Amino acid sequence: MSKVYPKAGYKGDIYIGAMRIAGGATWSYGGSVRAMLPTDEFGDEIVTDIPGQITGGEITITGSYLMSQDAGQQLLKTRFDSGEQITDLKLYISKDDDIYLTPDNTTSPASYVTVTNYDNITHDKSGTGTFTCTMKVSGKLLSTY
Amino acid sequence: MTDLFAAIMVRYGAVALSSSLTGLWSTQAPQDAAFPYGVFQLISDVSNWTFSENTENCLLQFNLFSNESDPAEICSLFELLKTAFDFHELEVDNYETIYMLRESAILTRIEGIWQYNVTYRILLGEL
Repeated sequence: MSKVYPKAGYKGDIYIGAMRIAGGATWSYGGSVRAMLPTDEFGDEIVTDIPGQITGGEITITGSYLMSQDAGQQLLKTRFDSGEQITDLKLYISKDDDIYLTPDNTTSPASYVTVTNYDNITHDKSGTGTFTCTMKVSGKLLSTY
Repeated sequence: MTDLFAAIMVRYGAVALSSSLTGLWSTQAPQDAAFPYGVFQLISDVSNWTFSENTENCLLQFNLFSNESDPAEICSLFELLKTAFDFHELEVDNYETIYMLRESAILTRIEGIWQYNVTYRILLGEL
């Protein structure tokens, strides 16, 4: 079997449904976190744990701020205002190869993400305007690769 | 790196750039090459190893030459070069092209000859 190499970053993209989030330049997913529950007691020298629940982690999207001109960036605000459960987010690793992360619809209940921070804008005199959007993952993200 | 050079020439032969240059040569053009022509050369090739995958990080420079007095021709050739190679996935034997990124482009004129020096960074993964 051929070796697998990482995809170049420029091949990525961000979509909600059919709507592209224009201006996006970076997306990151912090990954799921499993809580570990201590089971030790007084007198124990070594802390022991048992696995607890898994939390979905957080997604951060950053890019060029296109003000209100881009429908994709507007959609982030719309989703933030409504608190809607987003199930059709696609964080592309390679748009050409159709490889992406998306909320896992095989879990019960199905996973989703929620926009938790939208109006996070920076404008620097020596650079260009940038935006940051964060999303909370409820459940898990699934990779199509 | 002969496979990389071969892949460059295969791509060159398949795109409009080849109709606009009299030729493209590796490292050195013939003394009597007619204008406009092009040369490409490997500036560096640095290997990188992980536990199981090997990559080659290459800097490859194209030099385009035109003897027209007007810069229109050399600029047109540069556009054709971009079309041919920007983000192109070269088909190099035994390697996967991870990316081919244009890193710099410098236009100069020396003794009446226009030169466009265009450098690409190419990351290849060994299969």
